[in-house]
Amino acid sequence: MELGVLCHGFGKNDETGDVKDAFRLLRTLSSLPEDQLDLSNILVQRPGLIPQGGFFALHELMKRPYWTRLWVVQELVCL
Amino acid sequence: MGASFTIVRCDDELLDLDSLCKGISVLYRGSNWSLKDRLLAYERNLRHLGNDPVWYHIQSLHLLHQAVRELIYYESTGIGTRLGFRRLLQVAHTGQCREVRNKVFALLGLMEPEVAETIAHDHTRDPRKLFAAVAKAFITHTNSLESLRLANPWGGQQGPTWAPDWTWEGRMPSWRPGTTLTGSVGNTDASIVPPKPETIYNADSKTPPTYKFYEDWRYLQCEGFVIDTIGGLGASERNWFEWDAARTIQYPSWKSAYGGSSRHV
Repeated sequence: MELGVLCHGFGKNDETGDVKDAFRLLRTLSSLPEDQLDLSNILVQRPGLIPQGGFFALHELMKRPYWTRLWVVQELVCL
Repeated sequence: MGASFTIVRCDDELLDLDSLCKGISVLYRGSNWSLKDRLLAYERNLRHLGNDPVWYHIQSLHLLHQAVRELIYYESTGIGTRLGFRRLLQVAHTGQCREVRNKVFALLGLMEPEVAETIAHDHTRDPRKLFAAVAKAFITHTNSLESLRLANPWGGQQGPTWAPDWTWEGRMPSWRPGTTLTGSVGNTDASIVPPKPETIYNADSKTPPTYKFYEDWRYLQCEGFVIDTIGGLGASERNWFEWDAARTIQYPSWKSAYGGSSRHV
């Protein structure tokens, strides 16, 4: 735990999908303006904005057993 | 401190929970839900892993988008509600825990405080009694028998049939009231809370329920009625978003169940 934040660690980074790519993708997606959320348009009009390998890495991230632990939900929301 | 101060970490990589949920919510926008599968297949193909287009692990996405995101929004703004009984059971179904009772205890913090307070955190309690206590708490708190729709006689714990069994494997997330739609018709705006079942199914015309819990925890007595004749049926579902109109059985006459002449039944 760090000052001012609660830190959830879900394992080690590995070579199957770089978490850095997944986090970069999520940061990019979360920063998109409300009227520019259509990925098909973004891929055409702003090539390079969507990080290469991001979807593979995100998929690998979502496969982690961390997300199957029932206690995680309460810990994320309520701590 | 709450979720707005929460970050997730993998080795040295950090991401705040808000960005995590917002980023995933973009995938639920319009055609993005389908496009993400194609992008995954493309990237797998680049790695010579095959190009199977299926996004296999959507449960984690649903968990973050349909439960965590809404709860974070509620905790930070007060808009919306905590998860209802149906949603809690769905979350319990998608998550794993070693101890049966933790299906309930692991989600106590997500329940309405008045409900959670009545459920004793007793790890020695018979799971059947625990499940019955949860059902009783929801019925009493909401003064509604809506939870009977969630009950099932198929649960492995052999509890009362009026109390949902939290371990039943057949409880699949579905597009029912209280569940956010996924795909092109979905809306990710957290301020739009999915309707609660009791606001949609209103055949009782808000007639107060009559029920009684007995000292013997196994029994619930309530009043109802038995449907002996079905006059008409809506179309059954065919694939996603389609209905089989040919299977509609129209009721021969329109007559309000509430005594009026309105066609609202």
